[in-house]
Amino acid sequence: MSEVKYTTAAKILKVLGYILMMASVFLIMIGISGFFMGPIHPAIDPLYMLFSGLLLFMASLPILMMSQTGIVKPEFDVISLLRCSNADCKFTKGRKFEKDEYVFKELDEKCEKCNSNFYIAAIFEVERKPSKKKEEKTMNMKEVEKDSKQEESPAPKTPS
Amino acid sequence: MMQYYNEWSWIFQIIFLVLFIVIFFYNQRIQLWMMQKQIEVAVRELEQMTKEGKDVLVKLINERGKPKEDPRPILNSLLDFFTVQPVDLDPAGIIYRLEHILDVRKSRWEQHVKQIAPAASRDVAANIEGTIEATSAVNMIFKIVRHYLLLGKKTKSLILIMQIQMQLPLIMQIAKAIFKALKSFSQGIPIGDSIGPLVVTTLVHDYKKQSPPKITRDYTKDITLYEMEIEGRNVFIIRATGPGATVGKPGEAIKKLVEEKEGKIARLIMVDAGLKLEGEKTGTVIEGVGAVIGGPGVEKYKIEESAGVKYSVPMDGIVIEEGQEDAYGTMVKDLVKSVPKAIEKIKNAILTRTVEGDNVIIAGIGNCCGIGD
Repeated sequence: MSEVKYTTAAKILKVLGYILMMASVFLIMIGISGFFMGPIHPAIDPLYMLFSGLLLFMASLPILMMSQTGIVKPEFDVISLLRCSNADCKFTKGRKFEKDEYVFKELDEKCEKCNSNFYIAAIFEVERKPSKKKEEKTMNMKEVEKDSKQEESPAPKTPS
Repeated sequence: MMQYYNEWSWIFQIIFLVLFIVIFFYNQRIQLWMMQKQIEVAVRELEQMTKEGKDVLVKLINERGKPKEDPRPILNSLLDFFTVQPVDLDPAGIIYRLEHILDVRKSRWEQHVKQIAPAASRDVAANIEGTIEATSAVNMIFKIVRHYLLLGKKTKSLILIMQIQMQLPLIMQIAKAIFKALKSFSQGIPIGDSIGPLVVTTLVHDYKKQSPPKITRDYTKDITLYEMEIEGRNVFIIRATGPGATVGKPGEAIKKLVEEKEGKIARLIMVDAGLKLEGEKTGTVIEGVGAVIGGPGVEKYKIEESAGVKYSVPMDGIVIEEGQEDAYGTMVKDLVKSVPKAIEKIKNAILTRTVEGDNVIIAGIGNCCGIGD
């Protein structure tokens, strides 16, 4: 199962919420112990500590709840990897999946390099990066093309 | 001042005493309540998934199947469809009895899909069938979890609630994975399990220029056979017929082919997706021996019985490792990247373990959703 991811603001809020909660527990403990054993310092009123602790505790709860709204739900793009049908060209490019497409479907789209037809070599999903959507998408495509070029199976020897 | 604190200390002592008694006697009840709340959240999520699945299904049927009447009543009955397993007190012949039941089930589902989606093509009908199966699986998980929740509430049984709560992360993982498959089937996008057919079809495409394949569609039901020459060997490639979400009966096809060739098969190479262990990388290609095929066991039995026992055909297995979520969900990039590696392994097996002129069977096992010919 994919791990829960938070936005930066949510992460800060979460840490702040936990710090406040820990401080509140500490103050409440000092306050309560003051009632049993007397105040640790004459200037520190246990009742005051107790109420400060309770107030901090109540403040930490909405902060922690707010941090939960910053959970990033992963979004995915389905990519169709297009490959030139000319075995010597091997030009590939990625683009968003379109309805009724399937792997090994011959397309009417022409290769920019050799003008042969494209076919779909693979369909897969990639996680969409939350920020700089446009740039990232282009980067994803480039990455896909780069990967497919690097890891292409060696072409079978054509008998002469 | 001390007097003031002493007065307060009595109040706190009483509060602590009450808390102690409450926790002493009602500890389990509090635990039960907390676990119930967690299960209730999961049940709501599962209910939402089921509802969304039904909506996706109805939309798909209305768009592609052009139904003459409202498909919902038939769909609702299909979601509760059951299959009774054959009796295993006398295990002799159980495989063929199980096959018969599975065949009847399959034909019933096909009839229902035809009824609710008369305009759907063969591939779209297969995708609708896959979507119904996935929705039915999510619906079943929802009903089982809700059953144990309500039973636990009714009987106030900690053991019932605890069992479900402890397994909840795994149950939700499976449910989410099936829900992802549902969406993939409805759009005809390849899933992780489609990797076997993808590998063998890529192999066909790699060699089709030097040796144009002879293609036999429906060699057995929903199975396509390619006959071609690879590295001087006569290669028979078997896979389910795509791009609809079919798995076919590869065991039946292998059995038929082995019988036709009177057992003169030098090697049977099977390619399939396999579940990885946590810590292993998705898309790792591993090798082994045996009939690499999942499912209820009918197809595996046929391969072992015909190719294995009757004709002693050596069986090689190539497995592409993936998690359960990847297997059910839309195909991920790591799996696509494993295709050339798997093809290399197949070529290596052909070159090192067979000689020129040999007959070799290569079977790509898995769901062909989104994988064309």
